[in-house]
Amino acid sequence: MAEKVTHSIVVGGPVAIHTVDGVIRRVRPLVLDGSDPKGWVIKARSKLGGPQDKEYTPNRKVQPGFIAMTEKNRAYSYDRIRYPMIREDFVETADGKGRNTENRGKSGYRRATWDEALDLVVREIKRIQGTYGKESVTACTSSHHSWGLLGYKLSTFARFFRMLGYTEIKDNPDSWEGFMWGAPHTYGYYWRLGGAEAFDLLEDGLQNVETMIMWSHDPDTTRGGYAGNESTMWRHWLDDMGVQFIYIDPYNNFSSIKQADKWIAPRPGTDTTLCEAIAYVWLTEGTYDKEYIAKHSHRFDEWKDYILGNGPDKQPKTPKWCELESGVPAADVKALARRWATTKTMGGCGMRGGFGGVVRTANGTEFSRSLVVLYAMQGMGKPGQNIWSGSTGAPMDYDFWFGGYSDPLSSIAGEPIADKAAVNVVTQKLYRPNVPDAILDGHYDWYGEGFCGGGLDQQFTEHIYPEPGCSKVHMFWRYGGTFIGTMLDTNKWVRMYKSPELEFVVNQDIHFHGEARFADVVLPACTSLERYDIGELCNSGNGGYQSHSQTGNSWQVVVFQDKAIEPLWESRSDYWIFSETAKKLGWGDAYTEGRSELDWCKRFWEKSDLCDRISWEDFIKKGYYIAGVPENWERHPAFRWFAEGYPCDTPNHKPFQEEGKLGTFTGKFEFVSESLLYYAPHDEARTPIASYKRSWEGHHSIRAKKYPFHLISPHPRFDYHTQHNQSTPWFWEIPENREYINGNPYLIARIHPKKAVEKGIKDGDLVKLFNERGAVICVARVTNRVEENTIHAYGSSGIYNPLKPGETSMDIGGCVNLLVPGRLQGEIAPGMVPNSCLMDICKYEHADKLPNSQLFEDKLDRVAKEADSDAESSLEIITGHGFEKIQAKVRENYLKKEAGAV
Amino acid sequence: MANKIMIQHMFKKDGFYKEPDGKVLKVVVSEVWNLRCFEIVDGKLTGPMIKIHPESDRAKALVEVV
Repeated sequence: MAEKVTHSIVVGGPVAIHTVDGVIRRVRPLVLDGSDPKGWVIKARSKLGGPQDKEYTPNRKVQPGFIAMTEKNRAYSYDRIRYPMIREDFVETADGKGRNTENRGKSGYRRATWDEALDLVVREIKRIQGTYGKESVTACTSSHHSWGLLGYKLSTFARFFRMLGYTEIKDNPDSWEGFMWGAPHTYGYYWRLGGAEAFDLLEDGLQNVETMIMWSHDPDTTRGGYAGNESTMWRHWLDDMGVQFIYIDPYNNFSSIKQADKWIAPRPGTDTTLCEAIAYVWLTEGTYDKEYIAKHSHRFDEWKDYILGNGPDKQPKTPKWCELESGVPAADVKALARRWATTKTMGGCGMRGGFGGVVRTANGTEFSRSLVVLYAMQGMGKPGQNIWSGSTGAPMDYDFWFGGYSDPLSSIAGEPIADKAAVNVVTQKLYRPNVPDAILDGHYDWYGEGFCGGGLDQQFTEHIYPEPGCSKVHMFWRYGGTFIGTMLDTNKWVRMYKSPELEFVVNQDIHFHGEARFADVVLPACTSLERYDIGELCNSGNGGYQSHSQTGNSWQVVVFQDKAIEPLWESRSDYWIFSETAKKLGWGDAYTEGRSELDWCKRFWEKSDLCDRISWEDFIKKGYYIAGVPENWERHPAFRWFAEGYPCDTPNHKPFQEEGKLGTFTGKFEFVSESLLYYAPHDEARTPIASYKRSWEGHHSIRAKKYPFHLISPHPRFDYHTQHNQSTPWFWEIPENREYINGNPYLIARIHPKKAVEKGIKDGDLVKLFNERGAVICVARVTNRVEENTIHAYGSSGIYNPLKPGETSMDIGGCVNLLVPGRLQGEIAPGMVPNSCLMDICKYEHADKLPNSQLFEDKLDRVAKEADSDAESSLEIITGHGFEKIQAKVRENYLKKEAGAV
Repeated sequence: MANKIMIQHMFKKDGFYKEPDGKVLKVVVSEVWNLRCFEIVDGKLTGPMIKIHPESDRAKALVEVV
């Protein structure tokens, strides 16, 4: 029994995988050895006010999020798509009509061979593009599929579809909408997609900060994005030295209950009133940095008039006014404002200072802009005064360059990794939140370029679908995850899939998510443990999207993602699937350039600094490389250059910053936005002065009479997008995640005790969350941890389990995104707002009437058995270490094939 | 103020620069402290990534290809 140890990197962080006889036995965190470099050392206080005499250094292991520990379960999961499948009532008609599209979502599947499935896909691509034009095919990945520069969506997937020619679907910034569409109009940083820089702020924080304001921020849940739990220890250090933590969130979240000195719970969507009332206190008490504002602000006095009630609305933004709107006691507002003004205060919204559920509300742009001006008023960039939310800003080796997933240089779709870049000849585009609207209505207009990192003007480019002279879309290739769990008013996606406008639907995924069940052809991809890849922890792009996000780690790690096991069942790597399809289309050699997956991995090594640091042979033998931080690294604290007035010296800056300017029109903090006055003077969502606006779906709206509760559905604690929860049944045993009743894992929905009494709901009851857009059955958790007008249930459910498959019916999978509005932040501010959602709740009394056939395990069993009568049942796999049986079967089949070949 | 300062306004990202020996480099990354370039041969990015400090003699010898 030979044990093999390989390494990989997943969205939760880097892991080591122990494999025995081709079976994964254990997945564990990556532990450094003696040959790895020393960690950085930061000298700072041990107590507030004390000398800077304590040394802080990270543990010698990389600390992934717990979701990374599910990788064995994800690989052997009961819900793996095991074989290529074709919808059993799919009819391959010559004109694309009469294909029983209305049965999508409820039809069964038959098992197919890879050749049969891919031949059908290729015939349909040729027919559809031949009939309507190249733009009639569209394709989209989920936000994140599997980590690794080769397999990532902007690499393997992008190369295939750009070579094919297709209508690209632009992603929306679904984690930081308000900061993307709002904050750049106040302080620039459009090239960081609205997020502030955070360079060297961990050291600044440890040395100087006295108060941390964690606004809509649950770092132990969102885990710094891809950084896992690398930053958890930093916040403990701050806590231990006596830094005061103030959490502001309608839900007393998991980080807050562990750490908060004070929890403030505004009514959802009213946070901007809190910003404005804090500013009111500072203005009336004179406790802001007047010198800084005089030097660095633009049209401050007009904004000041607005706050003090001297503007057109004549409403002073007093703490009492805030209390009436937000429910936060005026005394708390004043206390918060005074503490902020009198102590060195850092903080931010969400994991990178500009994320968090509050920015995904109707007022999210205005909140983001208001938060930025608060930090400006206290001298943003001075020691201990900055936007920094305790989950980024560690020292790193900026002289080491290895690409991240958004770097054009780090994709097999472009040079220099590929010899020849793939270029999409189609200009028509779609916008992800509105794909169903475009398909169902046949027309859609929208603004922006998705992620608008190229300039403020990009937010205002206009798109029309179909583009003049272009065809509508008739084929959709979905790749990974399920939008029914992450997008808006998602019964629209159900209606879209049933439309005959979509003549052909392909779904390529690892697990049989809810959205896969609407496809005509299902293609089984393997996990990243079953193929080769290469990637760096938390590097989303050095030079690309929100650069140097690795400062959210204590260790900068590049991992050779070795193949731990062969692809299970008949799954294949995404690269194999696209290569084979390209081959059948007649351009396989152009797609692969003759390279295997391992060859491509080596290209990433040789086209980066990695090849100067470690040989290829040593790298693949060791499995990872750690770029150490020089002992006396040069400090470049974020924004210090601006506060102190010298040319910008931080990485990822723009030429005008070398003149000491921000990326706004005036180069200053714009309290009245000149860019909005120029591009969008009549934008009702983003006014030149950022201001609180009552939500069109808030407690003042007429809908509130019918749907009195406000649903908030933040990013999930027990998942990453939709990748883990469905495929990892042991997660369902976590009481704060799901409760497993009669074979179905119901999502937890949290309700305040006072409202629970009014509604006759007890803890543990099944409850129905509903509005006119849909209904979802959850299990009630009655808790004082939630603001009393709020229902809290995590979004991004990978499980979608409608009682009537294929219909827009009640869901028992916990897909609360069925309920959230499809309306965007504004007519020309295309941010999604799932946290501006009104709904009602009641006890659900009919659980005993749910037929067993509707329960989750049984549904998946049926699919598996229809495809293969010998397939294991879900229960066998969940409870009986089914992976050993699976492996035995894989070996047996392999031996049979080998025997046949002989 | 730190010593290492990127003089980015002197070099355009995606710009082409000729070295004294006639090699043409394309600046592919200019947002960190070193320029990152690839040599252009037959219109393609070739060879390994080249790191040039913006204050180095090599950087000073670069001439923009307009």
